[in-house]
Amino acid sequence: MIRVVLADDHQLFREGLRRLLDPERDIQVVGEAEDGLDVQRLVGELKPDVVLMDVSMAVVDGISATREITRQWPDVKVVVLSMHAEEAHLFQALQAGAAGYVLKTAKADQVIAAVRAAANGGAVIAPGLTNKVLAEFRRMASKLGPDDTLGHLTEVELKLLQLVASGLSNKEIASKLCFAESTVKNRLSVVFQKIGVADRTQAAIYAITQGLAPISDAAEPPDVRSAAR
Amino acid sequence: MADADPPTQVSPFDARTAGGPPTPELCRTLAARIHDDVLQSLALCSLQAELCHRLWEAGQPDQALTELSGIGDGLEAAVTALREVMNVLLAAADPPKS
Repeated sequence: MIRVVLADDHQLFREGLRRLLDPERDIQVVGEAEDGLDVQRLVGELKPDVVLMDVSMAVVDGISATREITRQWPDVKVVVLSMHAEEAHLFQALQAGAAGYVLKTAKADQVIAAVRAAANGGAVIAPGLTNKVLAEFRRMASKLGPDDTLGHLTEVELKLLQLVASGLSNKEIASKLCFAESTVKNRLSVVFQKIGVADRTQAAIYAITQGLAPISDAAEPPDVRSAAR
Repeated sequence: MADADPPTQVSPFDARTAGGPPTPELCRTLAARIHDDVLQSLALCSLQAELCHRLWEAGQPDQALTELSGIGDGLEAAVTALREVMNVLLAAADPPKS
């Protein structure tokens, strides 16, 4: 049996949810709270499996209550049931530890499915909002990825990248670093592979955008490690 | 002509005090009214419509009718709140001349 606590400051909506969930044989509504403080007290007392949590509530809002509940009782899963379809609320709820984010305008089946999924350790996000999560993931990945990539380059590889960005040929680089030209070519292939570019032009652009400024006289590379951080 | 006593509490939904400029505070008040009294009512109506359907399918027409009656109440509340918000917006756009 999945034991559920409802938290919403609108009594009529809580009652509607109870009438929706009560007929489900595997779900039991064990308590109702009308604000974010009351729900924390109830959760501590009843230790439900799932909390259906409104966002906009008096005293303590639903996001803060979610954060506190998931911190104090990590086994209790919180599904935020919100009127807000904006990504700001969605991300705040997920960051607070919510296992689900469903809109109040969702079909009844989605709400019931979200309760079951959360109770079974799953996560549910309203279908219309998943693209916002993916977009945010891509944005963060594009922001963090290159820095991580630079961190995977060795000292010599960073120096090679800088010299390429300075416009030097393989022969000039070989001369500057006392390498064989074939060594420069081979090692640059590894660098290109590591940073995910196809040729030296792309590599140069990449180096500049990452703060590895071209070396003016190609004689004394700056501290490439600090630039990579 | 003697001025009327100023109202003790200024409310944009009160015809006597409506007509102020669209300040950020007024916008927040309107948004809260829409959230609390329009969207919540409509969300509940949506939920009750589903309950009504389920009860009818389950052969419980009396309970289905109760939900249907609740939908009517919810829609009426949403319409009332929307009309009030509309009046505040109209008063802000075209303030009454003093």
